[in-house]
Amino acid sequence: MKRGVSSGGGGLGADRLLSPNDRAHTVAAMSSEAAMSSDARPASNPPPGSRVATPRFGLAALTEPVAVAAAGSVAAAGSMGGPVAAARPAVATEAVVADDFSAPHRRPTAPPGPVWTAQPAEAASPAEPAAGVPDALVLADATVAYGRTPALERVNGRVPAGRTVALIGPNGAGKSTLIKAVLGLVPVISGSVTVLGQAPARARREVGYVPQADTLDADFPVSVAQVVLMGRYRRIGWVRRPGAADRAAAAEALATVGLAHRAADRFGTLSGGQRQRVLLARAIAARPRLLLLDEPFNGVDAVSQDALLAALARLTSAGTAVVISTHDLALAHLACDDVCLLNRHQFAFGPPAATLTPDLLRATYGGAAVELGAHGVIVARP
Amino acid sequence: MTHLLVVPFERPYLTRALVELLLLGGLAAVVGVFVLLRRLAFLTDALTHTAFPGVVVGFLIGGQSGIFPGALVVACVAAGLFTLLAATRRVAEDSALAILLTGFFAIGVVLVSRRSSYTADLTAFLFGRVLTVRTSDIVATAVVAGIVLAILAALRKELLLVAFDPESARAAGYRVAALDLALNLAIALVVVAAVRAVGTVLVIALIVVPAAAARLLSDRIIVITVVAAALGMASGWLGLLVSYQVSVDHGIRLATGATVVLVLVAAYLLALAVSLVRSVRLRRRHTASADEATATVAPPPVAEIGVGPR
Repeated sequence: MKRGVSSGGGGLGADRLLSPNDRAHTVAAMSSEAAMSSDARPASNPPPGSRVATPRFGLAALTEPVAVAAAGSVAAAGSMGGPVAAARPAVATEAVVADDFSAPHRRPTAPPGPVWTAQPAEAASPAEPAAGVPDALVLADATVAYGRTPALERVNGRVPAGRTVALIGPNGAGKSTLIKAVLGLVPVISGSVTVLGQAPARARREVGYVPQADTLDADFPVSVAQVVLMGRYRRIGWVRRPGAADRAAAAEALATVGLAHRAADRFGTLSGGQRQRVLLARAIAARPRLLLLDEPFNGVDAVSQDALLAALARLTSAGTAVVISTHDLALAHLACDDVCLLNRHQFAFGPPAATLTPDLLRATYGGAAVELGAHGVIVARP
Repeated sequence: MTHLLVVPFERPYLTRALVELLLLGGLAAVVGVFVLLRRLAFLTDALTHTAFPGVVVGFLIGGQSGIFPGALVVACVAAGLFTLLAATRRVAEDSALAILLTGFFAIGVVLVSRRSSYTADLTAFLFGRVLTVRTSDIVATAVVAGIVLAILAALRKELLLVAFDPESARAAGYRVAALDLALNLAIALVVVAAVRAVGTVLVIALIVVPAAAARLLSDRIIVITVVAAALGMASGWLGLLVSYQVSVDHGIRLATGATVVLVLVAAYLLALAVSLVRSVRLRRRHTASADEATATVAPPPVAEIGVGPR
């Protein structure tokens, strides 16, 4: 069955995805909702010009204006007295899922409750990067290649500490390749990839990687606790056994993803979503400053998705930068500060409101996979 | 009955054979756990066959005492080659292994066939002669066991990670090819140590079968390792005993190495039966509890933000 996600559904027009100003409005909307305990929602109608103009194929010039716009969005939300993280669920309520193309624009009469249920208190104010802290990731005209054929050309972008970026594009677009390049596993043949101020291969100890859970052997005889402890191996070093501190860190990481009670179970007995959470816990146990997730939401149930998002919010609030490759536009909207649209080369990099636009998505997905409804963008997913 | 189990080992050649088989059975089984986890059974088989020409050349040059170094050199070279092959992925790994395996094996056979005592030698190299094991062979096996167990103990964390999730191991900065090489060399050493006693063909069973049987009985690596080692040693002892008793009491000659392997296979089948019975019981319990669950719990609500089942 094909599934569609309609972003910016409801009364919003096709070209009216949320802008930074909208975010501020929705913060206000949410807090007023909370106060009134009703679903009365002030109409948020930003002026048409408020959308960040993103050149479709502008590569080199892309990052700078967008970065400014992103900062503006944080400032806008901050000045409303509302936490940026809290703005996300409000945005999410604008995204309506349709299970079928025949009725993609149904809007529930009552807006769905915030998805960000497990929001920890300390996530309320995202840590501002201190001066002098290098960006977690800087891509400057980076071209990545397996052998001689470039898999991904001229990608630009900047991920400061504590921020979340979604890599969005169709299958084979080069999302995984970009992640491998950031890990230093695929060579950068021109331009540069800088991780925490260093070359990718030198920064590996401070970079966490979360693979897709279903790529791992479900029959492998390891317990959940053992898998999480693997995240500490680098710190433990050769030959030595894991110590009490390592076990404590692993247990804490497992608790962060809400699976402390499954520690003794065999990894393969967990559901796909739970396995994904265990792999996230493994990465968290290593205390990374940059975390890379490859399609973490594929085939993941709602409970596990909430738990993943809550754990990620906790990480970013502590200053970890996060890069997520995903097909899920609604989630990108919900959980990410910036979006990088990729398909062999870069189509855009910037806040969701500026990048998840019909034109850019159509360009990224090659037109065929994108359908435009009267009220939003629907991207077909495999 | 008890004297049947103990008395034969009062003969020195049987005692030596027993010690050798206990050492090899335990060692091969522990290595076998890593072979099982990293799914290297086929590569191990290839290593056993490629060691064969080394055995022959060693024997042609230095007689009985040339076998060990000859096999050692060739097996280590082959382990390196296979690691390289797996790392570059130029050729589909299994077909390349098959080519190397048969190619090396054929070289060995051709070399042996030039000797007058062709058949006897070939049998000895392929299936071993555990009853003619000398004290020096036992010492060599013990040294190899010490080295291999030290390698595995030192690298167990990293080998576990690489077996479970090689991509993440690479991402964490581990050199997966180097770890694979260490494991392949450990396997090669075990193959070489076992050549005199059980031959190049049967050693694969000593490595693969105990771990596979133990895996059927447990989900915990430490338990699997202990059970596999115990199984390997017990099979060595029982196989030797059975082959001796049948030969002496009934006049039927049973090759010791092959008898050990048959005992191992029987143990595997037993473990398989146990695990099947267990899983049937588990499934029954599971369906029973699932029926209760469906009777009491309402279906989960439909997901809101694109998270429903695909």
